Amino acid sequence: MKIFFPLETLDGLNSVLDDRFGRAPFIMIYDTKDQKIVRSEANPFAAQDHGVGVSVANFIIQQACDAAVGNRFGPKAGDILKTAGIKMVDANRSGKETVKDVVHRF
Amino acid sequence: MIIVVASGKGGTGKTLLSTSLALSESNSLYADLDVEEPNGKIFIAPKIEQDQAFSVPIPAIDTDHCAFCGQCAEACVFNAIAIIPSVKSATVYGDLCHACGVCSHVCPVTSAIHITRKEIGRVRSGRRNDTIFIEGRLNVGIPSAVPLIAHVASEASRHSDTVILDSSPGTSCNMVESIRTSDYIILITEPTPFGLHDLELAVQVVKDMGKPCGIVINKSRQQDLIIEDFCQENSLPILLKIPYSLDIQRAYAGGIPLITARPEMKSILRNMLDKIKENR
Repeated sequence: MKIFFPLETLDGLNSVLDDRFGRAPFIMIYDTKDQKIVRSEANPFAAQDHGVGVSVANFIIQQACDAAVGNRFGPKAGDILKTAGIKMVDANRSGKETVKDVVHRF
Repeated sequence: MIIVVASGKGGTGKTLLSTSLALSESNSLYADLDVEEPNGKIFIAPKIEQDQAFSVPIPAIDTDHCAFCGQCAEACVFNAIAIIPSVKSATVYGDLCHACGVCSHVCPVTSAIHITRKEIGRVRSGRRNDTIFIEGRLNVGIPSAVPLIAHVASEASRHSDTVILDSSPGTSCNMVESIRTSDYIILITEPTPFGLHDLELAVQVVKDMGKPCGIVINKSRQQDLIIEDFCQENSLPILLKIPYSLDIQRAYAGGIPLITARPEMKSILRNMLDKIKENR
């Protein structure tokens, strides 16, 4: 399963999840089957003027992710991910979690 | 000649001044470009002759013909389109769309994208004696006022005599669109730190757009060094000072034009307009 994470810090599996979705400073895609980080980089969409949610959702679909993790999903990102059948998983509900914390839940 | 009254800070007196400017000058046109909260009508008190809806062109994708190639989404600089090939979904987000038409242009399939109209506001027009009145009013919930402002300004510019535009407040997109077609900009401010701060921003916008401007100080205390010093440093003419006075405030709050409360202002405003036209 390929999972998308919006991140506050970039530190491998210890990366902290950001409360924002589209404008998180870093992003990561993790493959639970191969148990490895597929992508880990600065979020190219973070500074976009408009439609960040749309861009990130489109990206997640293009990258063939099965799930996306976040504290909240905006109306457009949420709408697109839902239509595409990509699972949305809540995180950071009671404090900041790391990628490691969330991956354990899958 | 098209003259716009703008400000940086809101509440400095754009409507106060612009409505009375229009009422002082015969055969002029007053256009309310503060489409998010138009209030000029209170002071002009026109008889309304037309009231029409205004709409913008928004593309819609017909999923029966769409190839789900994603080229439109790729081309859209506003990221307003989401294509999901796996579930044959193609959506245009109307509130992000700026109706530029690029999607339609790059689409490789005929009849996949067609244009629909989305109503975003209304335009009312009428007259009060020899003053023509136009107002744009944005519908609640619409994120971009710019197309409506552009439309009302365009309609106003068809008038052959003096046009007074009552700008949207602030210094971002709405104000830029409000001043874009004008020949001259009157920036009205108040002699306070907040007034000065936002005046500086407004002057920067005006300079970037290469338009001539003059300053009016409202709520003046006769000596308004905070603004006067700035104007002197930047070679900006002070066209007029409107006094900080309870009767003017009361009149405004009661929907009474400045030139009704202070009849001597009528010739003062006309002279100001004449000077602006002369120096063109």
